[in-house]
Amino acid sequence: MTAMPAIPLSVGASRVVRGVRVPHVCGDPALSEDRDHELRARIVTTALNALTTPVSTPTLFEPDQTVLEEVAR
Amino acid sequence: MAEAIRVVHYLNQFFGGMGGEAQAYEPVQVKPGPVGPGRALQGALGDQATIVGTLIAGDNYFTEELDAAKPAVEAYLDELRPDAVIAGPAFDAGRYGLACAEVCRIASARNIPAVTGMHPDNAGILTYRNDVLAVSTGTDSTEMVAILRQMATLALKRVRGTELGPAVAEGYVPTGRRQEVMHDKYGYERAADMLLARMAAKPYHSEMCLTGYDDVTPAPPLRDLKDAVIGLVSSGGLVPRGNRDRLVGSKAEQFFKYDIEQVGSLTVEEWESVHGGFGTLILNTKDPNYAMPLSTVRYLEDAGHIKQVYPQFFSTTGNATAVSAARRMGGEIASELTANRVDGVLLVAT
Amino acid sequence: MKLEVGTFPVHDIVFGTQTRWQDGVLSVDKDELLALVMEDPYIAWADIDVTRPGDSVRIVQIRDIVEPKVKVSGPGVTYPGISGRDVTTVGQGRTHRLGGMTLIACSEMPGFNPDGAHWWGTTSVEGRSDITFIDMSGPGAVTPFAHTINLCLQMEPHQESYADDWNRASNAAVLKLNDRLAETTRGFEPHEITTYDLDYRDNALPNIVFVPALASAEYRFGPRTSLGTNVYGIGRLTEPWLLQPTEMIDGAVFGTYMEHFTWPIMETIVPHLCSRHGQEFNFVGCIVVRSNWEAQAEKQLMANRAAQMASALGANGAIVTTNQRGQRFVETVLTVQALERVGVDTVLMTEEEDNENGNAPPLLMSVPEIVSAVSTGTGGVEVTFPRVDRVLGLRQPDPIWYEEKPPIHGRYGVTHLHDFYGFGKQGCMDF
Repeated sequence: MTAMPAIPLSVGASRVVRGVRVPHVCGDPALSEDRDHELRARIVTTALNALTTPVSTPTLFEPDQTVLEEVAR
Repeated sequence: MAEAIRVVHYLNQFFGGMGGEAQAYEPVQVKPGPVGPGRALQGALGDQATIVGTLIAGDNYFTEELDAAKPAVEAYLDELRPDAVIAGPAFDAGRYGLACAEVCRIASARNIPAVTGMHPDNAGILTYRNDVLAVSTGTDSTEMVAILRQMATLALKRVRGTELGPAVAEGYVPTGRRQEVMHDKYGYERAADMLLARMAAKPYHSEMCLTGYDDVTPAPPLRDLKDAVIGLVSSGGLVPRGNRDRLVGSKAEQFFKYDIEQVGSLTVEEWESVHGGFGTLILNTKDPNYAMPLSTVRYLEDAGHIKQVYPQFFSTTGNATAVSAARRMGGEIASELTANRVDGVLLVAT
Repeated sequence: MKLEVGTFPVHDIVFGTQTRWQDGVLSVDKDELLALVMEDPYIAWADIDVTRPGDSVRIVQIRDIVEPKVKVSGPGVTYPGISGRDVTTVGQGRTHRLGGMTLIACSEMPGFNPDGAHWWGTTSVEGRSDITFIDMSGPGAVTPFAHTINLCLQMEPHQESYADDWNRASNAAVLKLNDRLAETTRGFEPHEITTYDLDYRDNALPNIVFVPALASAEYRFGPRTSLGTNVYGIGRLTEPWLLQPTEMIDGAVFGTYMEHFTWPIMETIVPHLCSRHGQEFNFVGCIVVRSNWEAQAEKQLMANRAAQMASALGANGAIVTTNQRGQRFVETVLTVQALERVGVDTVLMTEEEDNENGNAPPLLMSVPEIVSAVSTGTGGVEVTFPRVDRVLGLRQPDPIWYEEKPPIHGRYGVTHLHDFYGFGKQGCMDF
């Protein structure tokens, strides 16, 4: 989980999740508290889903909206 | 006159004149003096060295019956007592390249200088880059004589203890070692010269060959998150406020474990980041969970999305960390997590 | 733009009763210069010393290094925009320089601000400033400044100073001395004049740009900080700046980031490329990429913009440099990639990481587009730095500064040379 996916992808990390910014990888303090919570859940859930995804080479996972529905379920 | 240098040459079944694929299972054998390309090699060595024997083996034999091939080569080397071993060249033939690399490694282990020749992408190089001195070749075996001449030159230098120059200057495949040299020109002159050569489509040598990045086999996916124990690791310099273990802000060589069994969320009252490579104001005044999302993971744990969060988290500072230190720490953390049956890990890199 | 640079060689600097340049000797009225410096109530103590190549001297706690320069004709002032100086576009007319010497400002930076808000410099237990020093003699006299005569301005702030306040005061003092010293050449004919006529273009030659990626200190000190390397006095994160090479020679890019000083940015690759302009290539511009953006998309955007600028300039080739590793290096690598993707042949020149006995690649990260790179070494110096008789830079140097210093093994974040601009002949090669 990193704000700079280019680095881990370049050095061979298998599952890379794009975070927000270096000082706040897992969320965004510029957002309202509710939206920030959503974003955090989205990033972490994307990361957990990445763990269940088969990969053969360094792979980037982009946190997206759909995982939120999964969390809500 | 000093005694001529004794050389043993290694060839596969094809160049050794035994035949093609049908003879690929021929075991290691010796013939006196030079054979096949060995004659051109002897020509290149001139009166400075003598090929006292040629070892020949089938490519399949050598790679598939390595346990038998190795002692056979060892025995022949002990018998022939060469001052140098020259293997190949193998060009882009992978099995032959591996065999040449193995022969060179056996010689090196006996303190006998060894030189081979092959394409930089040959399996022999990819497998044994750090151990093998190989003249860099193309894929065209009509260059044989020129390549053998280079191999002879390198071998004679090695026997005489002459220090080798950089790989591009000497024509060998880089062995993974980088060393400082003094050039004749300033860096900015070299940069301008290199750029001019490139723009004119003339040959140039880049001073950096960007290899050596890890090629990691990905772990198999988790089958079910709901059954998974998830570990947490952060390189964001997170420590209990006060930094009792004195985790450093850069060039870390240590990691620490902190108990989070009873912790639902990292708070600024209890935790801080000592990372020296980015602005930590947000982590230290607002929310340390941005560098390790414990609160979110707990929420998902409570909701049953994962089985459990591992009760300790691993913390270090990822800032100007040496690669070897990072590799060691990563290995230690991974061993401990696997020993404790952790199924998956979230690692936050800041 | 066309700039004439008139050189007044300095073979020696002596203390005297008046400040003037004559026949290669710079006389300095120390009291006059110190009075100028001490005008600023923020400066509690100052002293001036001279050191020459071969002296048993170590210069420590260096804040910045510049060559004295003054504009004698054409618009603007040298080192524009710094500490309130005029921001008129420079790079034209005539600039006089005192050649063979540098002006070195030394002082300790406050570690914590009085309110505890900020750090300056290193945050690790093991400092970095203790390996950035200049030995004027011995086997460790390897920096360019071991071969110049150096006027060292040593200063101390009052207690309880803020890093930013002190940086402004220190910069202003250095530039006051710069002006006073270089002004001594006004009205005299230079020993030598070099003309950089960048208006002249030969359409048969390829066009090249110089693209330094320079870290901004904004992430630590905010957008209005004076700390770090500034362009016309602006240090914040911005989209890339397009500068004429002669603007760089006049000091449009100024200021120290960590231990990366002004002199190497101005006095090395830029004049070298200017000297080959119109002969082997057309040097069509400098694109200064600010690095230290905190999201990858921002870094990517800046790389794209730099490539777009290079394209618009009709560049066929580029030399990209960097000045800091870590996430700051991403802008550099992405810039090389973006330039190559728009068809600009690009050479990356950089210091590299420790090979760790074959265990580590030379750069933090790579992309396939990096196919032509120049290495300026690891920044390490594998010699023992002998004990010295004098230490310049501090009022009361700690005795440890005089002692023999162990070899500096170059590695990530540990560099003695800070050679990102190719001013040395050292480099790493594959063996």
